[in-house]
Amino acid sequence: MRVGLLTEGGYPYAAGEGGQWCDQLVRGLGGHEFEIYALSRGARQERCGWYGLPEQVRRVRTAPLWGDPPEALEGTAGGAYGKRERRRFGEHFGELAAAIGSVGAPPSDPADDPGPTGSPSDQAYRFADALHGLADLAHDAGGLGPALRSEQALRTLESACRAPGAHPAVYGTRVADLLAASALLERALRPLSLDWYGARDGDRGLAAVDLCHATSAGPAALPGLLAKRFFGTPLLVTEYEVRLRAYYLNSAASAAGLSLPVRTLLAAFHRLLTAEVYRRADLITPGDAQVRRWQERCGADRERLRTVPPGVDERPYEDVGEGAEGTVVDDGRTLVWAGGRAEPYLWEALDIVREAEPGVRLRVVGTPLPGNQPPDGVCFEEFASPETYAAGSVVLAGAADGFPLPLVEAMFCGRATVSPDAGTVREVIGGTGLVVPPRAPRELADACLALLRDPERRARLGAAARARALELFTVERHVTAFGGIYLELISHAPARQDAPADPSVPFAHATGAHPPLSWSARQAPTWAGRR
Amino acid sequence: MSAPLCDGNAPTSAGIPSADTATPVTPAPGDPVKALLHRHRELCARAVDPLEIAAVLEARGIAERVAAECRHRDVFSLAEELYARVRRDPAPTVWGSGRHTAFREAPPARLPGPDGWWTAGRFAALWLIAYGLLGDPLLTVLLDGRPAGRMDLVRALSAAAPTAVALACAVALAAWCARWYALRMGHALAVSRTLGAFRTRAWPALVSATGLFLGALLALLWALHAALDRHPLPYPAAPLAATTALGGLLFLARLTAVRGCARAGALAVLAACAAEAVPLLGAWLPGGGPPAALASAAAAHGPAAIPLVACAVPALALLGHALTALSRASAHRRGAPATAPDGLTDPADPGTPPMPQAPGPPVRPPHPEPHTPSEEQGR
Repeated sequence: MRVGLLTEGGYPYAAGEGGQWCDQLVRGLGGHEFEIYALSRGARQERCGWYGLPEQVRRVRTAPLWGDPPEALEGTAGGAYGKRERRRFGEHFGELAAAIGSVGAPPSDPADDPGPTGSPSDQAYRFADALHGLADLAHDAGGLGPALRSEQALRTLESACRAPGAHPAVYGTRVADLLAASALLERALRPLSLDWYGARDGDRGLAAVDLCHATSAGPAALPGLLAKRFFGTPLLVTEYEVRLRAYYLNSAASAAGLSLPVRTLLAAFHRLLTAEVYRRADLITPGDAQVRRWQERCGADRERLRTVPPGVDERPYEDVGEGAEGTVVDDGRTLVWAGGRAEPYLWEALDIVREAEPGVRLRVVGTPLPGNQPPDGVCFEEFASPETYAAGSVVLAGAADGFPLPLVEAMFCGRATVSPDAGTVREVIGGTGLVVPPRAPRELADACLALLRDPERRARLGAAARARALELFTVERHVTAFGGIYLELISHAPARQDAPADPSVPFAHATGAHPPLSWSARQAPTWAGRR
Repeated sequence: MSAPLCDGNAPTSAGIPSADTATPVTPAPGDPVKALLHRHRELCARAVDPLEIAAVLEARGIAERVAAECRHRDVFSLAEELYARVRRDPAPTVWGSGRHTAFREAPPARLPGPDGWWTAGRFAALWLIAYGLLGDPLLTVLLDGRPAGRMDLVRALSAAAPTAVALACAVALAAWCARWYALRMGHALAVSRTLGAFRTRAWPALVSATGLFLGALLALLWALHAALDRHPLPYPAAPLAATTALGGLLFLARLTAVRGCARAGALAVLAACAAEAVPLLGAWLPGGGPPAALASAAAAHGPAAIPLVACAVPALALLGHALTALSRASAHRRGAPATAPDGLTDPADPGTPPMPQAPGPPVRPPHPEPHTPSEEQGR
């Protein structure tokens, strides 16, 4: 079976997020073939090189999602659409602009007719319609790049911003904002103009793929949406970090650079695009409950959500976790902090612990914050090795946001943990460790003391944590889960009629398509008495 | 939207702790959301929709527990209340507030349009300059039909010296005028509310920039000729006008080429080239024909008439084209503010995360190697 792995700014580029699990997945599923369709996010990323690719990766196609559109992307259009194409473009882009211009606009009068902007579902419908219209146009005309940067696009965008039902924030749009917004929209819509959907030279691209696996719901999933539309390829969306959430965080951080109308338009576009991806995807696999909440909020159907926790390579922690000979043993008086930045409340907690149990040491994974003097008996280590966790009687682990990787590593090492309650800590630890309120030194110290004074409880919790981690967070389980999901999706996909059935693709023969009895030879039995 | 449900007695921003400290909200008597709102006021005021507030709140460590304290089901509904309650000022336009000094003349590095036009235009421009310097004496010599002597060359070179110096200075002048035009356009982009308003600002700017350049070039030429030439004043007007027309043509061609109309500029320059080459050819080739007739007709009005007409007519045509082409906002994409520090003139995508400085993920470096089994660049 051939899987198209759709990425944006990650795998196979070494610089970028999310490469680790893709690498594990591709290496783990040796029975399938992979084609990687990667969108890169910057010149620096392209310079930093790739992961080493195993042989099941049959080919890699890349396209830049940054800078000006490459000359080659301008396609046959070359800036000169015919009259008919211009009309089609104006129609579809106008719909798209109207949809993104009116997202989040308060209804003018609830009693009134919703008017041309309509309800959120109406906006989503118009957006999807326009997106697919643009995709068809890009397929026919060979690209959208020049049209999206043309004066016509600016005029369309301008009239959408001044339309009666537009969002108040885009009312004040200046011409410079129109230019910036159209350039950024062109960049976001660039996957539509690529030749990944079957080129004229006989390269079938995504048409030859049995399943599309998008690694985020943003622009990376656009090729998957199009493949689903053009060829009926099933689409699987996996998110360990919600792309839309990351978009908002970066947008908020870079708020000073762009004006409010541009940010409003772009945020609306990404929101509608994400919702459309969630709506069309056959299956969505969030990594944890936080991601799941976001996906549900953005319109993902609960029935098509299936949580697949990320896999962490457990082999480095094997010796420590099993308490093998020669590994560091628990000395009963060392705490290890592996929960992100070491903030002052940690020193307060340490003081409280030391009042009760003098001689307790603290090892901190990370670098000291400037202007934050640690007390005596605290040592810093830049990276956490298995030995670091092993040295700790109690590991204070967690993550302020997202998946707490240090906590899982500590669980693999079989150490009792105390975690500040943030992100998805509770979901990861289950009942196999203590959870305290965030930034609360007194509660943190009390939990540490309780564990330090009770070696038996420590051992029990550590063993339970290790068992839980082995059950939930191993690479093997992660890869197997995806292998099963691939098979499930391909079993639901209708058999292709256009191409001869590929024996390597499971379920390629529809049951009943070749009945054991031939239907064509309609010979009456001899006993029927006919001639 | 501009003034939704807002407490009239909200304290001012003085003394509000930094938004980074995400201590759990101590339930204020009555309204815990208000405390949260004051702590994250800037975020809420700048957010484009409730989801942005929810994303940042989560990143700052405010999760379900705090939402529950604020009597909300989840962070999303808390963010919606925050979004609805904050007072939003009318959209502060970042680009309109004097930031247009960041606009700059587009770099000529990667020009749009086919490369062929750009190259052809360059060669044609070189030919035009060469003709502008030495063409008139050459034509005179050819029309006279006598063999050119050494003294003719010396005289021609010395006569061309002021023009050459003026054209060299005109490069700096043109750069300054183009920059002034780019600044005017950047300002027009930032302050125009509609494309129509931009158009009404754009064409006077082009006319002013061209007029400024032509006037300055003419003054420069006159001054240099007065200083360096031994001619008695008043100097004949036709050669000055011809050189000015040449400068204007090249200025406009360059101005349009960096804004995506390389073809029109190159065509105008090539037309001027041809118009100058034909009489020269007619004077050089023995025999009659239209070129010879043209050459003799031009000689009757003085040799400078040829470059004057040959440059002025395409320059005017190009100006006419540029008045429509450069009045389109889409032609000024490359003059947009440079927010991306890495030399991209386009504004950076607001949603693009910053790239890590060091190659590779920080925790476990993979094995990056230039391994390309069958790499195919997307078109």
